[in-house]
Amino acid sequence: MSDALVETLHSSLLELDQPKTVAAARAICSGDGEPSAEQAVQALAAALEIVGQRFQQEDWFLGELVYAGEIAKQAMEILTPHLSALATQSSGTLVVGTVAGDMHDLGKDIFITYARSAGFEIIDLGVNVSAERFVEATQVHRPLALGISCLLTICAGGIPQVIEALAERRLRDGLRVIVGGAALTAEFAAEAGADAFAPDAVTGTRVIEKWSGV
Amino acid sequence: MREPVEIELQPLGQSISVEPGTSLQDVLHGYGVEFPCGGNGRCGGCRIKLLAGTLAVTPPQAQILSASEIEQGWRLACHCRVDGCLTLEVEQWDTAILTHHASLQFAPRPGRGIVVDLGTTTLVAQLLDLQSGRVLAVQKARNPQAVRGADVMSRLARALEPGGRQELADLIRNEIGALLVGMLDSAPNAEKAIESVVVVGNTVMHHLFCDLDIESLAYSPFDSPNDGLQEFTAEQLGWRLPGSPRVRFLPGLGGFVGADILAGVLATSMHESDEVVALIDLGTNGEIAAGNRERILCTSTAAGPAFEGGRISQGMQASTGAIAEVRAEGGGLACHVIGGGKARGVCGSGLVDAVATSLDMRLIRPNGRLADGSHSLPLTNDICLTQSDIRELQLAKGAISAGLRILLARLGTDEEQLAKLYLAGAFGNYVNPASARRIGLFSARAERVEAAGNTALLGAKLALFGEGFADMRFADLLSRIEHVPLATDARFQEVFIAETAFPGPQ
Ligand code: B12
Repeated sequence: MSDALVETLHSSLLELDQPKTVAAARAICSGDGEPSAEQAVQALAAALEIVGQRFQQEDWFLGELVYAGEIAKQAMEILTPHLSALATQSSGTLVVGTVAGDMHDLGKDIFITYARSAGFEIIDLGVNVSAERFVEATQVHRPLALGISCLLTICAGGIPQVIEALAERRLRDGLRVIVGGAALTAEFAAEAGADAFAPDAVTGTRVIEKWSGV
Repeated sequence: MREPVEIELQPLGQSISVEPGTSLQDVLHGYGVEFPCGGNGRCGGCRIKLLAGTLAVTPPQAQILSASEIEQGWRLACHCRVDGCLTLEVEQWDTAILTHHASLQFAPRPGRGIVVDLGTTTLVAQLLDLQSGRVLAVQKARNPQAVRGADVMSRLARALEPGGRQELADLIRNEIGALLVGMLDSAPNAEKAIESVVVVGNTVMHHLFCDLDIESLAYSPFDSPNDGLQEFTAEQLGWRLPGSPRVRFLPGLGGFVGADILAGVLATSMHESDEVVALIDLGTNGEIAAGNRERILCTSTAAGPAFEGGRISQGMQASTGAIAEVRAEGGGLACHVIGGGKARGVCGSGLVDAVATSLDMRLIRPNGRLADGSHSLPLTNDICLTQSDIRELQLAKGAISAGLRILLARLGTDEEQLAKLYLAGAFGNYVNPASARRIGLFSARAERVEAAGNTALLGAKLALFGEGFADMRFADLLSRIEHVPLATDARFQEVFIAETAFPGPQ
């Protein structure tokens, strides 16, 4: 019975069945601790992994990606209060924003949803973020990594500017930088001095998970 | 080889010598005649009147034209071949357009004027008789700035480089200057004074032509504080035109919505309509205007180049060799290739047709996924659509339909209630409206959707002829038009994501 609940949580997320996913999460929380909230979170993570594969293999598109992320977020909100102190420990903090001059935020927001579901704490600086603000937030929050989104070719030059500004303040060492968005390529990211480029939000989440060692 | 034959074009009075058997479409296209449906005999937009000579009436013509029209000499240029000497009148060049605008105060006055549609890719100019309203000459050219980038964003990037702004301004001013001189030379009385020149174009073309600061257009907030009316003397632009006319670039509507859309508002009489109507320019920027005599909202949706065949793996412009039409036939897909030869790629209208047909045949699911689980859909032996091509179309279509929905919601209405939906832009005039509707680009009722032709040029003419527009500032009209920046619209994300899906089975 109990395993069946975890199984339901997993499969109903993949069926994009929001009521069923949420009901399964509630049932797990109001149960006798078997299965545990931790097991449920693992099941959600495994399901999101599959969502990511479906998106990468072009089976699913933005609608499914966003909706699955939204359902997972709701389920996480139900499960989180029931997690042990150890399990609620954040996988790390990320500072995320869209580069100066650019106001596209859809891709950035999708990345944030997935990174949050993976247990990261996100400081969202929003759109049109200057190098100065990235630097300030890095000083204040000491994040594991910085995530920068860019959709406009004309604004891509803002990315090496952020990285240079970080280096000038001696904040670059030990900090990782991941970039994404339709205007960028892996080559550009490497040239700009970023540590990684993510073609999509799910790949990006995998990369930062690797960095945090979870 | 037979002797060449002569075609005389009225009202230009121009003579052209062509090989017998040449298609009239090929000949007239070079003279600026537009073929709204791509020369498929569907729209009747290329109507010509035979004043002398003979042209066979093919079945598609008989379908579009009535018996009495045929009797009077009307033909569709796209379906005619030249066999002997002809004298023709081109309807597009006639005053008919002006008389459609009952409310327009057409005040005949002596003299001649010029209108220019400054497009990102193409320039079109017309010389007009201000007394009769007739087109005296037409001239077309490519925008020479294209060597510095195909789209407006790459032009802006170029203009931000040292010397770039000057270079782009010089390129376009010189080209139009030469184009106008060539146009005057092609018409009788080349030395007769020109009274006025009206130029329209998108906001980036406006700024680059007028040599204005583009910082605020190139980066957030993507504003255009200087998009008001710009006036020059011909000398200032280095143009040698008789009569030293004033040259006016009409004002834009805010953000990336330019004078070409203001012209579109005039051309569709949106500003005089009792009911709410909408105009969509189906280009890369996907501008939309919607409203009525009281209030008009406009926006740009940044659809991307998919409708022009851009970012599509085997995409191409709508030219010879492009699959421009796809329909279901014998359980498969049948393609029509422009020019009739071997397919070299697929253009926007072919892409939209192919997806619409495939949705009906359940080859593509409403979420855009190819139903057989593969990643490509063959259209012909050599040309196929990939799954990512369909995704690109979903983004472009999603942006436009989300923009339209949001504007109409702000006006307190929806597509169901829309009295008229005008499609502009090259692609807007090319695409099969039924297919566009099938993929969910819009949901307005089919009978209310209308391909509106080159509304930029038409609107520029109305501005030139209209009596009430003497100063061309359009202060009153502009005070009723509001630009809506979608980047800060709280609902855009959600609506856009929802609109990337195709409508379900119908
Ligand atoms: C939607 C859209 C808009 C919306 C933006 C709404 C919003 N709140 O974001 C609106 C209409 C407001 C808009 C405006 C403009 N846009 Co726009 N827009 C688009 C459009 C149609 C889709 C972009 C999108 O959201 N894609 C979906 C998302 C999910 O994809 P994505 O961002 O790439 O994200 C994925 C990955 O890249 C990754 N990712 C993204 N960021 C990050 C960050 C990190 C850290 C990681 C790990 C991963 C990651 O994860 C995501 C999911 O897997 C594209 C055209 C197209 N066909 O693609 C143009 C486009 C991006 N826009 C463009 C332009 C030019 C503009 C405007 C300047 C012009 C205009 N006409 O108004 C304005 C400027 C807006 C501004 N102030 O910044 C151009 C850019 C051209 C270029 N290469 O420079 C495009 C390509 C269209 C075109 N003309 O060709 N736009």
